Amino acid sequence: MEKIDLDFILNGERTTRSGVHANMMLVDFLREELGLTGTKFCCGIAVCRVCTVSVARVPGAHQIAIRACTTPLSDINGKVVTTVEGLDDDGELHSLQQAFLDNFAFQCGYCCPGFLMASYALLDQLKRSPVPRERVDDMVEEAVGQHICRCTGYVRYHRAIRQVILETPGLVT
Amino acid sequence: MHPPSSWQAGPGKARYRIDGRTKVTGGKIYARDFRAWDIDGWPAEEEVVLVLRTPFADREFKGVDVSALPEELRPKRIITGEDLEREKIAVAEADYPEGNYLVRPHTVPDYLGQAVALLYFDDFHTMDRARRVLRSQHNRGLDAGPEQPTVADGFYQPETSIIHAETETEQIFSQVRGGPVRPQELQTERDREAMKQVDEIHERLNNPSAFGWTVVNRSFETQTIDPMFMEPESGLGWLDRSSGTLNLLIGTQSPSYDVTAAGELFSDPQSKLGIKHVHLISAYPGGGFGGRDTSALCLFLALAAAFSEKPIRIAYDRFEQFQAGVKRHAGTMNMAVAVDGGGNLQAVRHHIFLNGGGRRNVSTYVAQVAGLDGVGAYEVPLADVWSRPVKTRAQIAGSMRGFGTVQSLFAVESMMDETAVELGLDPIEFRLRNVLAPNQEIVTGARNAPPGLKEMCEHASAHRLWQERDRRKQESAGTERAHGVGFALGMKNYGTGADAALDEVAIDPDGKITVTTNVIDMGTGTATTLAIATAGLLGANADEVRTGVLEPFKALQMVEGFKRQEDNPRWTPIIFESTKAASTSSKWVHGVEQACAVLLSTGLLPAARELWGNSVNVAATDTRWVDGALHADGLRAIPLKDVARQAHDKGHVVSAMIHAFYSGRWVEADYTVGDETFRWQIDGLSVLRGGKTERELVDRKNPKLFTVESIWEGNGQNFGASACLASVAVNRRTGEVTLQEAVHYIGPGKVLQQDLMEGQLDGCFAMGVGQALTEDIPTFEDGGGNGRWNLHRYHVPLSGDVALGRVEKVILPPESDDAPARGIAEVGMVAVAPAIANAVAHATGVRFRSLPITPAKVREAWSG
Repeated sequence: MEKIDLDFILNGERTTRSGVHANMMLVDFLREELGLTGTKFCCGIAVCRVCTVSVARVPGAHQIAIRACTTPLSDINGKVVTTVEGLDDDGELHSLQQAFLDNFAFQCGYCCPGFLMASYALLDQLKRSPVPRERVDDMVEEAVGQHICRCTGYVRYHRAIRQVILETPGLVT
Repeated sequence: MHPPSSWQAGPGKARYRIDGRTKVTGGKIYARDFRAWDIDGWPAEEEVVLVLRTPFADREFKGVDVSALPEELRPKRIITGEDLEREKIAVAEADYPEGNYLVRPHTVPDYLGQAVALLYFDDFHTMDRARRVLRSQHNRGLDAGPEQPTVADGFYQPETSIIHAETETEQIFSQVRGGPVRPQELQTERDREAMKQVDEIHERLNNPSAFGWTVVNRSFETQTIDPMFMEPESGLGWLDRSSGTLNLLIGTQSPSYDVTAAGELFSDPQSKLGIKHVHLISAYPGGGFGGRDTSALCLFLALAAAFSEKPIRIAYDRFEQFQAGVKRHAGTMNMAVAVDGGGNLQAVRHHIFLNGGGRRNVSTYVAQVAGLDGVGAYEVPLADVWSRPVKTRAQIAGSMRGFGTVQSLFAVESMMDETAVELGLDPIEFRLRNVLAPNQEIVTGARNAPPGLKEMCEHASAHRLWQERDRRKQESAGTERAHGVGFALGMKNYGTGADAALDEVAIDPDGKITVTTNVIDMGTGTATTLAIATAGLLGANADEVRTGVLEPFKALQMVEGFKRQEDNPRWTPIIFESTKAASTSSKWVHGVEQACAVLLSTGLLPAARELWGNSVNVAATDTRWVDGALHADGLRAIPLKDVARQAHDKGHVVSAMIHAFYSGRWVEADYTVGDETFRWQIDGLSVLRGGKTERELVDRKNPKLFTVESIWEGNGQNFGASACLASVAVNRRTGEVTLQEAVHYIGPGKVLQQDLMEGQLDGCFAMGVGQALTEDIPTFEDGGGNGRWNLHRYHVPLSGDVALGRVEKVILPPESDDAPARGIAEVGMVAVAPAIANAVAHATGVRFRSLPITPAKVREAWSG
């Protein structure tokens, strides 16, 4: 089984590991090797999207939401990965986290990190390419419409994400 | 960026969930997140265990076959049923899989998905790779014999019969007049009397013209459903051989039952494993919906730990969760409805068959509830409801949100529409002619009907969607999509009719309040609700809520049993209860409020009186909390922390631990603490005084208790009302049903926290959509038991499926100032699927009597 020397940026810090299996999935590496259990495991086949993390090719590049359960380590080598543990700033919550709290967006909360990270990538996209206000709902649906939540019926997740988009300057034309 | 903020928004209010910050920052909170090295006092090194399961139950299991695994993926050791037999593993209590926990080699498995072996690995990655290889094998790592005939189905006992007969002036036969009956067994005089009533009902249904009745006979089916909570079950176990303590960490709805069941595994006197205690650490479950109530995971953690020198970890993946997890019962409902010329229901025969799979689990209770809700929200003079849990080789079915009512109400509410069509009546008008009034007798004969049923029907009848239903249907003729609107009315019990709560409220010298409880929070917001429940009497929210806790409550020394022990002040019918039946709001909140009452009256108030001056004798009713300080007319306000400090310094009560029991009313009794006697609605009390480490038991006096008979006669079920009006579009080419708009009705009574309550409703709605349209899994060999099911084949509704933003909530106001807080997390679900089915029938002109209504079924119906 192929082994690689892993070298990537995780939540703002360079992370290296020698001789890891190239096809180990990112979610397993985060949870089992690094103890970063904020990224959740649910279906393991890239359907439910609870394991979503955000990846950029290089620092400052576009954030892309990917499924950590089907992303092998070889695919993230050299890249920039942000997980839910990297969202807050020394305890100060990201506006998405705060909006999720204020809207009672989640219940059991297991799918929450996936919704957060997909929305995080969406905010980055809108920052680079703002959309008209009337397209916001479609953008939210496009970003998290395939995420499964069993508790909430999605109502408050969408409300919270929309609220952050509308309240963050520069995301809507 | 936002600075850290408190979840609290003032006394009795929550800005966000008490568990919210941990969840939104990815903190360790779920069982799946913990490793042995995270737990204080546990050895750091763990083994990872794979529970191998059978995809067949129609041939001999000859043994485990891991020959497909390369050497580096081979398990270190394998534990089989023979090992369990050798170690004298006993049978755990009846709600759990009863024995044969690992199928013995050279026997035929009892059911699909049954465990056959425990495979031990040094690390997660090796186990994970091994399970993928084994899953790819035809027999999933099992050596199997030739196919052989399967065992015939049977029935789990007891079955539920609810026989009701009344005239216009009197009740002739009912459940509350003498308790449950089993007419088919004919063992008692009452059974024979019940059978006589059954015969008479059938006689009339078979000769409707003699009575001027119209009789409609139909059969309905509902599918097997997976609870599909998002966190696949996981947990840790460690047998500390030095103390004989079996430690478990698990996310469960039934911590008390799990501990009991795990302990019972090792109760054989010949067991050499030396397990004396079971200690359970309760993690927040990543969803539950019933699926974690008396789940067998605790047994496998216990068994795996017992056969290891190290802590062990089990972490199902989603394929395993589909294979191992309990399901919602597939249902077959045969129903006959008789109506007189005035559109009044006269008789109902409803025979319900619920597929419980290979183990009883809680099937008999599910059948009981299916029967209880077997004639819906209507007045029916003659009823024969017979609800039967069926024993088959299917996967185990058990508790799930809706708990039997989902199945029976789909039949009832479909029948109401079908019958209305037969009679040429508007379906809502037909319901209005028969709907129960508040406190009217339901099918059991108890005066339990909830308020709001009529109002929901009337509101829906006047709603734009209903008013325009025929016009919109006509307008859609010839277009790509046929439009239809359907309505369904729901009535469902919350609580079980015999409910118990354990709560402790403690205050530290700084005024910090901690609630400790055996209930858990599977996402419903229980912890938050209990945290704000202290504010009414203590003027402040709890700062901490510890859920799923058991051991401290041993201090109450309660003993249980349904047979009344008149002179034993520790006796109660039930000590523990699972977190289920949407009872948090009504039951555990009561417990917390009662504990607060004890703490106020025997701790804080005496302390405040001292601070005010000993001559002052202020009653609790003369005080009020304002801005965190205790006020009384003419006296200075004292901050809570000063009162708490005084209580601690002067040896007043600083912790009140209670047990409460409910069956239509709470047990209440007198309690003397110090030289004062109080009457509280609790049946067990222990207090702790400031400066002490030993708790004091306070014996109850003059209790108002129950007997078995009074529980039956009182029929202490509570019921709630819900309804749904659904508008659908059915694609004429693809057969796809799309939800267009909906109105969702609920009568919650007193609302404890608006956001949490509305969130529950949203979740109920989505789950109802799944029940109606998207979720389906075969019940037998092609289903979850074969280990090949995951979310690529099982379709949980997405945001695009639930008419997001187009579901209007109609929340009925409390009917009175003292209206109870009703459980809504199940009540709110049950009307959704039948409303959608009725809408599809309206749109297509075809009645679909089998859920889910898939595009293939619609296409087939239209082409036929």
